[in-house]
Amino acid sequence: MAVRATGNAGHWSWYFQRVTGIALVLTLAAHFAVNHFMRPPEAGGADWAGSLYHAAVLRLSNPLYKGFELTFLMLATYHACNGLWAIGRDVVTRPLARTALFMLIVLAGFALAVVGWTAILPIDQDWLARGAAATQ
Amino acid sequence: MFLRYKWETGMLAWAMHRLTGVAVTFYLFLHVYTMTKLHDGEAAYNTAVSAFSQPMWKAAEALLFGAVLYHAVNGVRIVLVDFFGAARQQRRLFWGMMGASAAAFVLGSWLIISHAVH
Repeated sequence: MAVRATGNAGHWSWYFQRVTGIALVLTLAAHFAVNHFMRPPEAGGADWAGSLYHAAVLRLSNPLYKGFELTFLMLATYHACNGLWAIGRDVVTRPLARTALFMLIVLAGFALAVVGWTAILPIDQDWLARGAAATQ
Repeated sequence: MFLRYKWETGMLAWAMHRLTGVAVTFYLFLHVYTMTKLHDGEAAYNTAVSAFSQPMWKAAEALLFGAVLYHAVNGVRIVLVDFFGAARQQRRLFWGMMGASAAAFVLGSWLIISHAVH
């Protein structure tokens, strides 16, 4: 017998945890394959001698891949926070402590998203040239 | 938290799902923090990332791989049970998927430890 969501907040939490979970299995597989098994397309042949820094910047300077990584980050942040709160709902019983924990989890999620976006968003085609100029 | 309860596969799967979920969340924060090092220049980033190739971190990476693998496979199992009515075959499903992921864990962690995967 398959289960269905009925519409209150707890059910949506349950439903979206499954939807984002399946999405994360697929996006994590892609993230892992690209970052660990593929050379950035701009890097050229097997004799490429760029460092891990070069590889990361080349990948993230591609707007499509950057968008993919940010989507992946949003999915992971939601899924992690929703999961932590599922544990919190079970473990913490005092109303004030529950509210405090909920706010802490939301705050941590926002902090994670902000740090992730500010780290990745500004990286573009000129990032390597600017970095080299700054260190001279 | 652990009530007096007859330990069945579903209970074990549930407890391990929560444990691995919390562990992977810690990694997510560490991983995103590491990415901020891209702003500190090439040397700083490469130093930060190369720290993870030390033997202790390689072992931690193998554990991380195991945690993610378990969480993903068990998550798919939960979706199969919740959305696709696989509850009747749940015990066979659990042990089948755990067997497959144990094999994947042995292979994957060997690749990580042997530095074949960076």
